[in-house]
Amino acid sequence: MTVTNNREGLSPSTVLVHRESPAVEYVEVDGETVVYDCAGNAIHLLDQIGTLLWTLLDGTASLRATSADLAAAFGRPPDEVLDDVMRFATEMEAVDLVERVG
Amino acid sequence: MSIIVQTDIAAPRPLPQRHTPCLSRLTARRPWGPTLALRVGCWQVGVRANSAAAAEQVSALFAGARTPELDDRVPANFSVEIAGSTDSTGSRSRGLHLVYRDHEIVARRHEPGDLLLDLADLLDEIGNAERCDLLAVRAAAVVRSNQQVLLLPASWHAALLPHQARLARDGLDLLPARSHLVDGAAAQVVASTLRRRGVQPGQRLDICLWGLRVLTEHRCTLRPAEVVQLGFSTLANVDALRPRPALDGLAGLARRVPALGLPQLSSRSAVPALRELLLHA
Repeated sequence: MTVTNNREGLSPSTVLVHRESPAVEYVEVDGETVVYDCAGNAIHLLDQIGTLLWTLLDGTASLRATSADLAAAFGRPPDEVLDDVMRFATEMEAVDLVERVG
Repeated sequence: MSIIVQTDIAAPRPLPQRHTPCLSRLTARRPWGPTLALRVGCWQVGVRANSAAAAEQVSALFAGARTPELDDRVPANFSVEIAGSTDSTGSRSRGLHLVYRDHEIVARRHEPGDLLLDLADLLDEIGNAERCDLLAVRAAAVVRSNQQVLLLPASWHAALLPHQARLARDGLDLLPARSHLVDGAAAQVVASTLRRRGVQPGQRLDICLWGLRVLTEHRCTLRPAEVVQLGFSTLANVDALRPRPALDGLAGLARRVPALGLPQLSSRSAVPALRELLLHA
């Protein structure tokens, strides 16, 4: 897997992956996730939706493909889901919890 | 009485000392005795006292941790000043017994025995920060007569302290507001500083409630993930323990122990607030 540091805006074709341990550590508890950014010494709490999206940012699928899977699973319009996924992904990248693949 | 200090097998390092003009003045102001070396976790810690009697007490109290062969090689990290000892000017010192960490006063007591137990707590604190097997949780702690522990925001300690005797009459022991060793998976406090309350070192006490400081005006229930998030900032040993085991330990604790978000407390409302908490625990 090749990881890039390109910081231009995300596109639906972007593939993201969690930054690896020990840079980022996380634990899931009762459907929510607590993520610790070791370098930034910051701790983040992801709600249940955020936790679901976090688990899908595993470096194997583009944001568009991830959105399509979620839209199909939850019976929601794909464009609407893509907007939500892009917003979440942008936020995760802004706080340095994920990095781009490829 | 003798204090058991946690030791490990790694080669100990001298605990760094902050060299400041204030420390130089403190050193010049009193007739300090020789510095006594103690091993605390992975550290060699130096303790000096302003009287031979006090030095003897320190030596006896921490006999199990003494490393006299290093006495001349450790910095004076802690200075124990017992009032009533004669200082270099021949005058009597103040009627308050003090412990300094470097140049800073970190304990003050009217009873020398209490002061030395404070010193034991301070040394425990240094050892706890190096522990890599248990969570070192900074918290106020109250032990009920049934030996269950309530962990409370560290800031609550100051509000509860004036009521310590009243709490004791209710069967509640208020412990020092320092770090407490917690086994997250078992939701238990592992006694270290608790020993002087009739609890043996290593004994485990169940945690019945964990109260964490929140910025709201009212008490609130916390979700387990919120407990992990807030609890992380109370840990004194993240560096030694590493973040992942720390998160796992906190998650274990959050799943097993009821947790509440607690606002800041005034001394006036401290006892009623604690009594109300006990109804939840």
